[in-house]
Parts: sequence; structure tokens; C-alpha cells
Amino acid sequence: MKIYLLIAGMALVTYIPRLLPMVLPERLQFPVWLDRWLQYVPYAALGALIFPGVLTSVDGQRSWLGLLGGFTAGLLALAGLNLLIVLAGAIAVVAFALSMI
Amino acid sequence: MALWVAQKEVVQFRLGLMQGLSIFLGYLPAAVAFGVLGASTGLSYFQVAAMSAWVYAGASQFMGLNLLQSGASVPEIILATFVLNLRHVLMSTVLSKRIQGNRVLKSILSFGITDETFVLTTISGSAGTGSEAAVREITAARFAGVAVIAYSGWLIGTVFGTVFVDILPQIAMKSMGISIYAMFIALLVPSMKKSGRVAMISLLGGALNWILLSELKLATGWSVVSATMLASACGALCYKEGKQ
Repeated sequence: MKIYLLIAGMALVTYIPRLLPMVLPERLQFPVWLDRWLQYVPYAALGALIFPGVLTSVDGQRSWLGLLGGFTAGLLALAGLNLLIVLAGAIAVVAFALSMI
Repeated sequence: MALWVAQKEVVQFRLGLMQGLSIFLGYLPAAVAFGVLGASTGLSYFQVAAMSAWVYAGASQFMGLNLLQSGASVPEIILATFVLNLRHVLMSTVLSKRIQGNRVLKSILSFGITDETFVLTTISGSAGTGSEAAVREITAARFAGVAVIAYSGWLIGTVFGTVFVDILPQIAMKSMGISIYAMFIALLVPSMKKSGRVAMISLLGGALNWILLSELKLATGWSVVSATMLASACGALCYKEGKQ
């Protein structure tokens, strides 16, 4: 019972922050400065989500593995390859490195 | 006309599914890890799956298990979850301006907001990844496609993890840990190539997050949202004219 109470509570407090901004009055106009600020949020968030998390993404003790995968992804993306190929390449290189150690 | 509209939505939904496939692959290993951990914490299969199905927030779920094991009370865990998820207010605010659709539809779609679905849908365009013209537009159907496949990955991975705890090859699981980051980087590189200011803002976001985590010892949820708000505010202040 306690676990279900916990799950219900966690579900609620996770959904509320996701939901609230969506039910704002539809015709609410944000001031220009706020719009401009929000416009850059995805790019700023992307940077913060990548770094430094990528370092510990494969192995908490060996940050070079995360770096290796990250660099591989970067190179493949620079070459203009498709998202899924970038993904497969990074996984393959990391798997190869893991099998070597 | 109605048929044409419906077709357009199907196309957008499929595009979302395709774009979201990268998140699906990224969520699988994390969700499997959650399933394994949940089952070993002593929760039933159903309870572990229910948590992934209803809470659907990776970091919160891991933290919840952790706190549960260390003997924290239910209200404590719920409060900690709330704090960790406040960052979604910011993401949902951005999405509420960009997703087209009525409030009911947007409320349902908002369940699918995660760090990953947020950056994927806001940075890749409706006409494909990195398309310049359509970059600001997020059709409800495309968001739904991304959300559905991401959610499936999380759920399938969790169930798989609880059931097949022992048979998973370590190297495959560990190497798949890079996939979410590979996706992030694959989104980052084209936008950096396109615009110097975007590159600066992303780099600033990463640098600030690192400083906040390592120097100020902020918890991950707080440091990500603080770094994001600071870096995007710098962007808005430095580049007044406000085009992408």
C-alpha cells in the first residue's frame, strides 16, 4: 500500500510541473524580453544536459569512455550523417573500447 | 480537405516516431537498469512497471528507489521528486508557446515532456532535423510521435529489466549508456554550425552546469535548470535583435 501511495504521489508531482504551463490562458502574451529569453532555452538546456553528464554516461570511473563516445558522435554529426547512424557509431566505438579493457 | 489535413498529421506523427527512435534507443538501457534495480529493491514487477508507466521520469525514479532503500518517508520522497521535476516548468513553458493545438490536447501531450523529448522537438524542425525554416514550429502530431516512442522505450526497457535481470550482456548495456548523449550531440552540432550565437549559448550552458555541480555542489536538477536559465538569459541579453 505504501508503495502505491508513493507511486501516486510521485506521479502527481511529476505531472503538475509538466502540465501547469500548458493550461495558462491561451491568449496570454509574454513580454518581448521573456519571449527572447525562452527562445534560447533549448540550446542552453542542450549544453547543460550534455556536459558534464557525458563523462559518466558509460562508466562512472572511466570518463574517457564517455569522452570517446561523445567525440565519435561529434565527428559523425559533423560529417552530416543521419541521427541514427551517429548513435550506432558512438555505441559501436564505445562497445569496442569496452571489449578491449 | 479534411483528408489532406489528416494525412499531413499522419506524416508529422511518423516523422516524430522516426526522430524519437534515437530517444527510444537511449531510454532502453537506462530503463533496463531501473527495472533491474527496482526488482532488487524488493518491489514487485507490477510496482516497478507502474512507477515507469505513471511517474515516467528517469532521474526521479532512480532517486525514489534510492531514498526508499535508505529509509526515507513517503512525503520526503515525494517532496524531493517535486523539486527535481520543477525544471519541467521551464520546458513546458517553452513548448506551450510552440506546440499548436488546444489546451486539452496540450495538457495530454505535456505528460510526454522529458529533458530528451524537449530538446529533440525544439531543436529539430518539423521538416526534419536542422531544417531552418520550420525550426520554431512544433506540430502536435510530431510531438505526439516523439513522446509515444520515447515512452514505449522507457516502459519496454523497464519491464525487460525486471524480468531478464541476469541475462543482459554488460558490454552492450554499458555502451548503450552513450546513446542519449550521442543524440544530444547530433542535435547540437548542426545548430552550432548554423549559428555562432547558438554555439556560444550551448557551450555556456554546459560550462555553467559543470561549475554549479562541481563548485557549488548543487543537485543535478537544480544545476541543470539554473545553468539553462542563466545561459539563455545571457543569450537574450547579448543578442538583442532576437532572431534565431
